[in-house]
Amino acid sequence: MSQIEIEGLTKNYPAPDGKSAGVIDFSLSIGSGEFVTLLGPSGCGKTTTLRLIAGLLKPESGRISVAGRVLSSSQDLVPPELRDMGMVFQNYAVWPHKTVFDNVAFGLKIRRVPAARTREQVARVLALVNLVGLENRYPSELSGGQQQRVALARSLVVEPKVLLLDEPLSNLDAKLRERMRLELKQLQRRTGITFIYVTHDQSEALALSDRIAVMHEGRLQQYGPPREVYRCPANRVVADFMGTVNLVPARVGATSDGNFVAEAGPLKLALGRCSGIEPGDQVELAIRPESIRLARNSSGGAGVRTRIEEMNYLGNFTEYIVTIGPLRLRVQSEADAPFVAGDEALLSIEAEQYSVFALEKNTQ
Amino acid sequence: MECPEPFDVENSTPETATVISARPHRINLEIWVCATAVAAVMILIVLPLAFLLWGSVASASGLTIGFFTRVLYTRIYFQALANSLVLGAWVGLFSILIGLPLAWAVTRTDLPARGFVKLTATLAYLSPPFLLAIAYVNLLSPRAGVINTLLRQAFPSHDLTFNIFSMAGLVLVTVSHTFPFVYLLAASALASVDSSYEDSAQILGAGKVRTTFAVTLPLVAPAILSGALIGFVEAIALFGSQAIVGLPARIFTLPTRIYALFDYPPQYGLASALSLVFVALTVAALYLQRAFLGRRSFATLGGKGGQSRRLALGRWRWPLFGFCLIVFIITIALPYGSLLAVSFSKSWGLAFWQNLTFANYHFVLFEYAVTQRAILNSLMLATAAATFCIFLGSVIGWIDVRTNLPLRRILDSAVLIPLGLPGIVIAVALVQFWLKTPLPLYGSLAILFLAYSARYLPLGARVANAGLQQIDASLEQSARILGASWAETMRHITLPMIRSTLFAGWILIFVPAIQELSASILLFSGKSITIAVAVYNLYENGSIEAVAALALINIVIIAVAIGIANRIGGVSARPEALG
Repeated sequence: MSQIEIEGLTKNYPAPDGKSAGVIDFSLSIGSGEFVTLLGPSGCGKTTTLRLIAGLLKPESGRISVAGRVLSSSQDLVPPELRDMGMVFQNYAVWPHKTVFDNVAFGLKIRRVPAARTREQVARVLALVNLVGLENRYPSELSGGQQQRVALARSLVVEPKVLLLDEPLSNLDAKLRERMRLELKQLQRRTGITFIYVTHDQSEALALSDRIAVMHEGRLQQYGPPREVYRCPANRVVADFMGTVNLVPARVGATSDGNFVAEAGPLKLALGRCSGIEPGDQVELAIRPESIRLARNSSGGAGVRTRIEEMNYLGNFTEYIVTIGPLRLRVQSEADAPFVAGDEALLSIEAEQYSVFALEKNTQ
Repeated sequence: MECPEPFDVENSTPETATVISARPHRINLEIWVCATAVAAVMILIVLPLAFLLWGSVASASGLTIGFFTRVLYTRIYFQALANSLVLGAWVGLFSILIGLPLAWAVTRTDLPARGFVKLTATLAYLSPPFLLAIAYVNLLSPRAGVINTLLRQAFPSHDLTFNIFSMAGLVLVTVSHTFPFVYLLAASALASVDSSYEDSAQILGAGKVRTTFAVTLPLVAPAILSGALIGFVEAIALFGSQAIVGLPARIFTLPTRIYALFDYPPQYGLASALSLVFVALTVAALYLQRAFLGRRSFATLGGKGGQSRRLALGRWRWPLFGFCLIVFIITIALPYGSLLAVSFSKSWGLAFWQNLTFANYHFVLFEYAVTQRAILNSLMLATAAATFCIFLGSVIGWIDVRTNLPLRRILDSAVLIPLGLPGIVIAVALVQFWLKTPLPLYGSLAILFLAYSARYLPLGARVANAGLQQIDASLEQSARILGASWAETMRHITLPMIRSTLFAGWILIFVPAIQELSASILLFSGKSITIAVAVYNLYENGSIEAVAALALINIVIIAVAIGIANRIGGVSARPEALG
C-alpha cells in the first residue's frame, strides 16, 4: 500500500539559501493517494525534507523510494525531472514571462504532447482550478490567489503521481487561505494524487491531512492522524506545537487499587493509555484548555477548588486564567460561561483528555 | 466539476513513461557545460597567469629573482613605474576636481541644463581615450597644433602655447576620459544623502557652505575616493594615450616600457617581471577602492531616495554652469570637433575648411586594404568576444548562484582576476603561455579573441550574476520538476528571463572591445590587425587625415551599438559593473 518510503534520511546544512534546516534520521511511509502534512516551526527541516523528496537535494545518508524504486540515496540521485512529481512553491514560482496558458502548458510542451491535446488538457485543468478565461493573462495581471492556482494547474496538468506543496497558502490573506484550503482538499480527493504538504500552521494541517508528521529540529516527533496527534501528542514538543496547552509538572503516585495517578498539588489525574511510567517518576501533564471544566462551588459536583484570575471574552469562547495554589492554568469554555475575575470555582478535567510525558523523554 | 480521467494515478499514460525513459543522458549536459566553463577559465586566465609568473622567475639557468631586481634597480624601469604613479596620482586628483563639482551641481543644485552636464560625463566616459589623445595632438602639438598656431598669431610677443607632449598634456588627455568615474560614483552617493543630515547641521547653526564641507562631503568621501582610484587604475593602464602623447616627450610609463621590451630581441623575462609589478600596483589600488566603496554604505543607508533637496545657487548659478561648459568644450567639443574637421580636410591646418573632402573616408573604407581588414576584424572580434564572455559568464554565474559545487568560489574569484590586469599584461601573459605550446596562435585572430575574452570575462560574469540573482531558484526548480532537463530549463526559463540584462552586458563588452588597443598592440599581425591598431599605425606614419576618418568610423560604430541598446532595452552603457 505504501507508495513512498523514506528511510533514515539525513541531510545537514549550511544551505545556500541560508533558511533551510537539516534533517536527521528521518523515516516515513506514505500511502498512495494519501494527504500527508509535514508540520513544524520554521527551521525544523520540513522544507528540506520536501526538497529531498523532489530530488532538488541529495541526502547524506538514508534513502527515498517511490513505488519500490530508489530515487534518492547518498550514492545516487534521480534528477527532479525524472521523478514524475509536481511541486508548488511558497512564492508560486509562476514564470513572469509566460502567459497563464504557456505556464500551464510548459510540462506538456516538454513532453512533446501535440498542440491539440495540449489545449484540451490545459483547458480541463484550468477549469479544475477555476481559472477559465484567464489563459492569455500574464502573471503580473493576476492576484495572489490566481497565481497560486496557476502554479497548481501547472503541476496537475502533467498528471504527477505525487504533488509536493511548500506552504502554498502562506502568502494569501486569511479569507482566501480558508477557501483555497477547502479547494485543495477537494482537489486531492478528486484527483487521487498523493499530496505531501508542508506547513507551520497546525490548524491547516489538522483540517487537510490524512496523516500529520510533526517535525522539530530536523527530527520526526510524531506521525499519525490529526486526531491522534492533537489528542495524544507523543511528547511535549508536539503537544506545545499542536495548539495552546497547559504543561503541568506532576509526580506519579499509585492508588490503593494499583492504578497510577499523576499528582500536581491537589490536582490528581488517573493515568490512562498514554502512560508508560513508574510511581515516583517526575512527569509533565499536557492539558488542552478546552478539556478543563469549571463549575460553580454551589453546584455540588466533584472538583478542585480554583480561583479565576482573569477572564477574556473572545467571541466564540471565553478564556480564563485560573490558579490552584501556585499552579496557573489556561481554560477555554463556551462563550456565555458565568464567571468573572475573582470568582471561586470547581475545576475538573475530562477523562483521558490529557497526556503525560516522563521528563527525561522530552526531546525524543 | 467531475474528476477528470487523466489523473488516474495507477494508469499513467504510456507516452509519459516512454518520454521519461528516452532521456537517460540529460543530466550529463549540465556537468559537461560546467566542466567546459572551468576549462575555459583555466585556458583564458589561470594558465596564462601561471606562465606569466613562471616566466618572471625562470631563466635558462634555473629559478632567479634577477628580473625583479633589474626591474626595481635599473633606472629606465624604475622611472617607468614612477611616471605611471605620478600620472595616476595627477589623474586621480583632477578627476575629483572636475567630476565632483559636476556631480554636486547635477544632483544637489538648481544648475540650468543639468541633462547637458550628464550627457557630457556620459560622452566623456564613452570616448575612446587614444582617439582623444590623437585629437589633442592635432590641437596642441607644439608647432602644428591648431590652437597653438592660433595663440602664436594672436599673441606674437608672448608664448602662451601648451605643449601636449608633456606630463601635463598626458594628464589632460587622460582626465578627459577618467573624470566620469568620480562623477558617476559621487553623483549616486550625493543623490542618496538624506537632506535631514544637512538640515540637522543647519539647525545647529552651520551655514550652507560649512554644512557642505562638514556634513555632505564627509558622507560621500568614500565614494569620491573610490571613483578616483578607479580613475587611477584606468589611467595607468591606457597604452594608447601614453604612447601617443608620452613617447614624443620621452616619458616612458609601464605599458609603453613593457611594449618596448617586445622590440627585437624580445626580453620576455623582464617584460613578465615588469608586468607583475604593474599588476601589484593595480591590485593595490583596486583593493583600496573596494575598502572605500565598502564604507560608502553609510551614505546610502540613511537616505530613502528623493529626500535630498536642491540648493538654490543664486548668483553662483552661471559661473558654475560656465565651469561645466568649459569641461564640455575641453573634453568633448574640441577633440571631437577637431577629429571631424581633420577627417574632412585634405591637409590639416588653420585653413582646413577651404578644401573639404570625403577622400579620407573613401580611402579608409574602400581603397586601403589594411583599414578595411581592420574594421572587419574588430567587428568580428568584438562580436565574438562579447557573445562568448556573456555565454561563459552566464554559465559561471549560474554555477556560483545556483549550485553547491565546492569549486565555485574559486571559479568566481578566478573570473575576476582580469579586473586587476592591465590590457598589455594580459597580452604578455598570453604570449608567455601560447609561445610555449605547439599551437601557432601568436599573431592570429584567435589569440586576440582569447585576449579580449579574458579581459572582458569579468564584465560578462558580473552582469550574468546580477541577472541570475534577480531570479528565484524556485522558477528554475519548477521547470525541472515538471520534466524539463537542465538545458531545456535554461532555454525556456532562465535565459528568456535575463535576456535584457545579458544584452546590456553584451553592449558593455562590445563597446570597449571594438576600440581595444592595450592588448591588441602586442598580439596583432598584418592579418589580424584591428581598428585601434590601424589607427595607431597610421598615426605613426603621419597620415592624420586618414586616422581621423578611421577614428570617426570607430566612434560611429560605438554610437550605433549604444543606440541599438537604448532602443531595445533602455540600456545605458554605464560603468556600474566596474564598481
